[in-house]
Amino acid sequence: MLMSEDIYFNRIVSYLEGTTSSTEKLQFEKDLQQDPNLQQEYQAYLATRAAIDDLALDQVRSTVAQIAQQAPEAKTFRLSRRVIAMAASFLMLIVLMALLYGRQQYSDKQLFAQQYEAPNWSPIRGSSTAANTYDQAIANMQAGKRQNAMDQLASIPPEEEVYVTAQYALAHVQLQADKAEIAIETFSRIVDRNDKRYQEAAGWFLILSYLKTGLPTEANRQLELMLQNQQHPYYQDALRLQRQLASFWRSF
Amino acid sequence: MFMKRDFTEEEMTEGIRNGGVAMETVLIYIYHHSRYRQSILTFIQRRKGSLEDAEDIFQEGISRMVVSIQKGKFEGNSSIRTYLTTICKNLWFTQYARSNRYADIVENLPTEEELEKGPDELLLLKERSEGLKGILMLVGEKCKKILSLWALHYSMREITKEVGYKSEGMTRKKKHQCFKALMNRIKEQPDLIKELLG
Repeated sequence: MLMSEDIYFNRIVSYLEGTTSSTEKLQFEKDLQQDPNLQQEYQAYLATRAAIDDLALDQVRSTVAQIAQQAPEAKTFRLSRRVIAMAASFLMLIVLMALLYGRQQYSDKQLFAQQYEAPNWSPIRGSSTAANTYDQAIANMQAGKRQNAMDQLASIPPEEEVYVTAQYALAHVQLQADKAEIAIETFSRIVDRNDKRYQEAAGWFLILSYLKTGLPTEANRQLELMLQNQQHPYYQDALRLQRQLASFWRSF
Repeated sequence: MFMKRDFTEEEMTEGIRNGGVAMETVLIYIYHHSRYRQSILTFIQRRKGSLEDAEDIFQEGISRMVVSIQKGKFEGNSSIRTYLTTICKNLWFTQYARSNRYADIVENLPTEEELEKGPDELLLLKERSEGLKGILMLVGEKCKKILSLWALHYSMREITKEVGYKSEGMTRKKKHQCFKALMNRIKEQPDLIKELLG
């Protein structure tokens, strides 16, 4: 290395490390503009520093790698899978609950409960024994004494004028007393009697009795018969019930 | 080695800037503090990286952050954590883009928030040229060690201990010789000077 290069080198180091006086600093900057050799040395010095900085990055990598070996083990990220699993479970739970809810809402018993409306009973206040028996039965029915009411209503013979009325009331008490199978027989009898006062209503409650008994196919068959007559007083109710019976939710 | 205490932002920046053992202490703190490490590992693993990928990126991110801070490119406008996270995100997206998984890249393009790519980080992503690699190979391992430790502001005492010399004077002399040797080799390659200063 030439002596001048050493001088240049020392001047550059002093200048860059800020150890020169202000006069020397100004002189260095002036020489740098005018002296091509100094310029060359200065450029080479800066390039060397840049190369060493590059080396320093390797050194830091090495240091960091050593630190990494002593660092606690990191957790593998499994949150996304866990979240997906949780979300899927939650979704399945929602779907299941929706299906159960839908199924419950469209079950035979629930449909019966939605459609069934008990008639308002009132005494006949007639003079015959049968009429008195009927009135007593109605009073018992309203007092919650269903068995007494059923016994009294069933005791009225077919030849009595109040017979069909008593049978209609009897069928309702049987239905309310969870004796839907017997109510089916009673309502059927009323339908067969062709009594205009009760025949259409008995037909509708017969369908509801089939539902309560868990015989939706028979209920549907009766509904189809009823829907053939658009003038039937229960036509709209029958139409709605038929749609509910065909609901998506019932397929589950 | 690990000091179980909290560092302030200023202490961490100062520790890294000072280099040497102070820097190592800060790096150990960062490594052991889940606030820094785990959040970055999680970020990369969420974006199709393995734990190994994530660890590599975190290590490289810390290394580049150290050099960046020592070069005075970190102005303290954000926290160390934000700065490190930005570097790691940029590294991951760059590495990911290189992996030729085009479909994945399109699906996982970084958002503006994710891609806070500053000029400092972009500069750091430059690859080392073949010319520089060749020259550094000729310098010798001990010289490289001394010069890099010196560049990282390790004290002469620390460098002496690290390289196993008998005295700090010998280390100082050796550092001077190594610097000159490297500089002479660089002077022989004007194109390399342009590249290094570019």
